[in-house]
Amino acid sequence: MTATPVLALHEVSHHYPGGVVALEQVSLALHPGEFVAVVGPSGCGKSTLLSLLAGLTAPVAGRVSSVVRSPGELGMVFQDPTLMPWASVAENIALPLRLMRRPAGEVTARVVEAVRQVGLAGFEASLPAELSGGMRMRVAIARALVTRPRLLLMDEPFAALDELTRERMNEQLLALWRELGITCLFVTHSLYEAVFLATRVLVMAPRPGRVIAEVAVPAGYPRGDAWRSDAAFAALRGELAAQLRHSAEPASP
Amino acid sequence: MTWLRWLAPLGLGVLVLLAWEVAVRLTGIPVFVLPAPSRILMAGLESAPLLLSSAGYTLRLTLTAFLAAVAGGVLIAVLFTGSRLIEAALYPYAVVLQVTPVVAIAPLVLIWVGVDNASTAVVLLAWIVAFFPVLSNMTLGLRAVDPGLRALFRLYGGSRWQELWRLRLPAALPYLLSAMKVSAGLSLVGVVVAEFVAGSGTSPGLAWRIIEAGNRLQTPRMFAALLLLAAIGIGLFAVLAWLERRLLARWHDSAR
Repeated sequence: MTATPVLALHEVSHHYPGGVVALEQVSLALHPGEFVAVVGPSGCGKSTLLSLLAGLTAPVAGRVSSVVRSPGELGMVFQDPTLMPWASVAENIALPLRLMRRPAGEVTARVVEAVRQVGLAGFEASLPAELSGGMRMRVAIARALVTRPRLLLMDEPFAALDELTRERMNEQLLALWRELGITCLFVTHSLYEAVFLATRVLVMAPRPGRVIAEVAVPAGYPRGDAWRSDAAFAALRGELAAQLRHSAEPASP
Repeated sequence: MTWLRWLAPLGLGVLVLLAWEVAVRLTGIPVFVLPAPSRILMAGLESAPLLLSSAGYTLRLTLTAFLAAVAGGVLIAVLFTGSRLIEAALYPYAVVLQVTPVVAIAPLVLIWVGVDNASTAVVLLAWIVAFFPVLSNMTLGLRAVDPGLRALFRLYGGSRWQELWRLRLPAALPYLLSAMKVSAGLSLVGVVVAEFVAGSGTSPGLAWRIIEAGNRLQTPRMFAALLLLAAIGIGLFAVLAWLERRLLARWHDSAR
C-alpha cells in the first residue's frame, strides 16, 4: 500500500463547544480500493470522524488530506436512509446530480445505472413510504453511487435492518465495491459485519475518541457464508471483542 | 361503517330541527326571539337573491384576504429562514399585529383607507387576522428539515436557492396546508368582524345583512344569513381538506 491515500487524517483532534473532546490525535489513511471498517462503542466519535472525513466539519487541530476535490467524488450513506419523502425513488437518486447541475440527459442515464446497481429496477416511480426498510437503504446507496464517487463513507447503514436483510445487503455491498473499485469506509457497531466486509478493521475507544487498534482481515474475496462459518472469522471477531472490552475499561492513571 | 359517519350527524340534525320546530309551535315563542326552522327557510327563500349576492361579496372578500394572507405569510417566512436578523427585527411586530384585537384597529384602518373604501378596509383587517398562522406555521415548516438531508445538500455543494426550492419548501408543505385551513376560517371571521365595524351601505356583505335584519327584528333572515356564513366556512374547509389529502396522501403521515 504505497499509493497515495485517498483520504488521510493526520493527528486530528476535535472538540465541541462545551469542551466535550470528540476525537484526540487520530491518524488514519484510506488507500485506494480498500474496505475499512470502524468499530467502537457509542460515544467514541465515529460520527464526528465521518463528518471530518466528508469535509462537513473542520477539525480543531490536525490536518485532513484528501485527493477528493470536487463534489460527487465522495458519496455518503447515513444511519437512516435520509430520503426526501415527497420525491420518487428516481428523484431521490438524482438529487446529487441535480445539486451539481448536471445536464438532464446525464442525470437520466446515471440514475438508470445506479438503479440497476442496487437492484431497484421497476421501483423508480415509488415513493419512500411505499418501500421496505432494506429498499430505502438501497435508494440511499444508489444516491451515493450516482455520482460515481471514488470514496464511499457509510455510517452504520444497516443497523436498523433485520439480520437476514442485513446479511444480504452486506453481500451485495461487497459485490458493488468489487465491481466499482471504490474505496469504502464503513462505521458499524457489529463486529460480525466488520469482519465480514472489511480488508482492515479499526477499533476506536471513547472519551476521548481515538483509534486504539488496527486488525487486518486476511481473507480474500468474494466472501459469503463460507467465510462467515470459517474458524478464522470467529477468531478475528474474538480478537476485536477483546480489544473493545479493553477499550471500555477506564484508562489507567 | 362509513355510512354511520354520515348518517349519525345527519339524523341528529334532523331530530334537533324537528324538536325545535315542535317546541316553537307549542310554546308560541315570538318569531323575533326564536323563529321556527320552517320560518327561517321561508325567509331565506324570500330574500334569496339579496342574500346570495351578499354571500358572493363576503366570499370574494374572504378569498382575497385569505390568498393575500397565504402569499404574505409564505413570503415573510421565507425571508425569516433566509436571515435571522430579519426575523429578529420583524417577528415582534408580527406578534403585536396578531395580539391586537382587530376590532380595535378597525376604526383606524377605516380612516386611512377612507369610509368610501369599506371593502378595502375589510380585506386589510381580515388579512391581519389570517396571516399570522401562515407565517408561524410556515416558519416552523421551513426549519423542520431533516439535518441529514441538509448535510447531503452541503456535501454536493447545493446553493441556498436549491436548498429552499428542493428541500425546505416541500418539507414545509404539510405545515402550510394545515395553516391554510386555520387561516381560511380566520379570514371569514375577519371579514365578518371587520364588516360589523366598518360596514355601511357600500359594503353589502352577509355581516351587514345580519346587522340590517337585526335592526329590523327580522330574526328569520338573520338566521338565514348565518346559515350562509356557515356554509361558506364549511365549503372553504372542505376544499382545503381535499387539497391537503390530494397533495400529501402518498407521502405524509398526516394524510394517510
